[in-house]
Amino acid sequence: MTEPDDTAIDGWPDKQLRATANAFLGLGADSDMPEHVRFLIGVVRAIHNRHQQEAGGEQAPAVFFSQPFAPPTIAADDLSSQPMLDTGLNELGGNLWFVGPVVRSGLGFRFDPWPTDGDLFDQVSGDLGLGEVPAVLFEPRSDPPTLRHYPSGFAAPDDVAVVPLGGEDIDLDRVLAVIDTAHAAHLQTSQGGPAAAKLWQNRSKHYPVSDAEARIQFILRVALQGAFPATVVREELPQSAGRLDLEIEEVNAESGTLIRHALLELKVLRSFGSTGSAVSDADNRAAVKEGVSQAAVYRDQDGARASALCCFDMRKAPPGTECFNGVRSAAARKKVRLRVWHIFPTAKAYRAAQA
Amino acid sequence: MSTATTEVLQHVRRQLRLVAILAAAETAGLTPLPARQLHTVGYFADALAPVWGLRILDAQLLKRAEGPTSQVLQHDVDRLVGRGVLTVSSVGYSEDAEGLWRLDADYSLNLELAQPIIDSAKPFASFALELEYLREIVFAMSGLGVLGIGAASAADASYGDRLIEFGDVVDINGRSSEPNQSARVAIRFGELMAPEIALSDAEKVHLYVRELYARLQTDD
Repeated sequence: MTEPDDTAIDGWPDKQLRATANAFLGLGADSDMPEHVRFLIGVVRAIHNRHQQEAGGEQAPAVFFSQPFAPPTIAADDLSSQPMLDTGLNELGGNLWFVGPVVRSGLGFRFDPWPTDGDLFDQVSGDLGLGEVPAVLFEPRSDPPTLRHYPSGFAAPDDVAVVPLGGEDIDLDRVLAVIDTAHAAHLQTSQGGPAAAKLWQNRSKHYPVSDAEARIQFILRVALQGAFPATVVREELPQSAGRLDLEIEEVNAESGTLIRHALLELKVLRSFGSTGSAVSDADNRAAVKEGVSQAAVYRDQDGARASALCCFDMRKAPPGTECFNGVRSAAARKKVRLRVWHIFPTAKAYRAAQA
Repeated sequence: MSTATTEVLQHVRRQLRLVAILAAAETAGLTPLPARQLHTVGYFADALAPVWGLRILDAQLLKRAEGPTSQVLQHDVDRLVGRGVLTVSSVGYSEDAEGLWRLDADYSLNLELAQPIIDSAKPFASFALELEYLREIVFAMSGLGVLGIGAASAADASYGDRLIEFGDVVDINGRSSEPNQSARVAIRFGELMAPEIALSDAEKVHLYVRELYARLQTDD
């Protein structure tokens, strides 16, 4: 990083700016994420920063609702407005918080005494009319404290995911499991779903879109960021040897240093370009070979804990792992994990491949 | 591009800016947004525009104790109110620090008319970038709360410059080689973290607002 230079901008010492940047690293890094992912990131950040300021300071649970206004059943006088909710300086527990998608400021409604879980769900879904509002329940009384995300609201209590609060090891197995899920949901047959998942220029002829890699990368980034909201999933970072594709970063709460959990190098294997020009096996093999090298070099340059080459095979050839023939020993030597996921132009092609 | 075309585009950008600011304010729970806060957000949207490589719309305005007030922006607001795109509430008068009476009001969007405007702009890359930028400005500033937004310009690197007296002109055009002071500070965050961490333009804006908040707390 650039060395501190107190004369850079009068009245704005570098030391102070650096302290702000380090304390709030990742703020705004989610600007291209869907709002539900930003909400999750924001809640985790608020809880995490609170824990940093006062470990064990939270005694009562809190609920964060993904809507910035309170229901009419709560009188305005019973609400407290809290700017910069995520500084960690203010008590969060014992409140229902109404927040926007980035969870910067919030309206708090104090629940005193805090109800039992059953009463909480009943009141939220009943009198308060908030049952269908996406919510996160923070429970500090468990060991360790937990965050539960109810994407469909408390009215659907079984639709819940436990969200990691951060500060734990994220190994490649966990990262690749998230990609497995994202692949099954959005990439495998790539039909329907978000516009970003439109991966085929011409399905019947097996022509991928020209920017298939960027689209896959974005889908994976959203999935990884949602799965690990305490981290920052960065993409296309410039390196001296090129640009790495995805990296999962997290600030170590104790040392203030940056942990780079994993680095992912992505490659799309094709039989054709977007206009129908043939892509040779030699070209695909060269891409895989280059990917192994990049995954190792970027990992070592960045000090990432692990790296993987993630191939997305959009070729006409039957699925398999032959794309890694010739690079397996090099990958093992360089400690680069190899994984391939197949992308089919239609559900019918997928079923045929499974038969 | 002809002068007339440029003027039309500029006019469209100005009105789109207001619609985008209030749309983001709605999402962030800031509406109805008081006039003072609307003008302040408009000011910051200009001051930090160079961070995203966007053009400034109102580069010069008088420094006032109440914070940024742009007659041009207010004219745009009034026109959008007249067309029904913006709705007004809590209309009243207040006396400012210079002893002048001014019209105060809170503003919201009439989504029925505003949403088609946003939807029409999105397919155009330059407008889409502008919409994204304005959303991030509002989201970042939402952390200050309504009262904090009203006070934010006092801590701003350009508007809050103590060498500029009330009644003097604040010019955020910058010089040919470098942007205005506010944008420079935001960009400086990126320089300080590079090359290990490549901050996005959005991160620079959010960090700048976070720095403003810290300064406002200190000033209190």
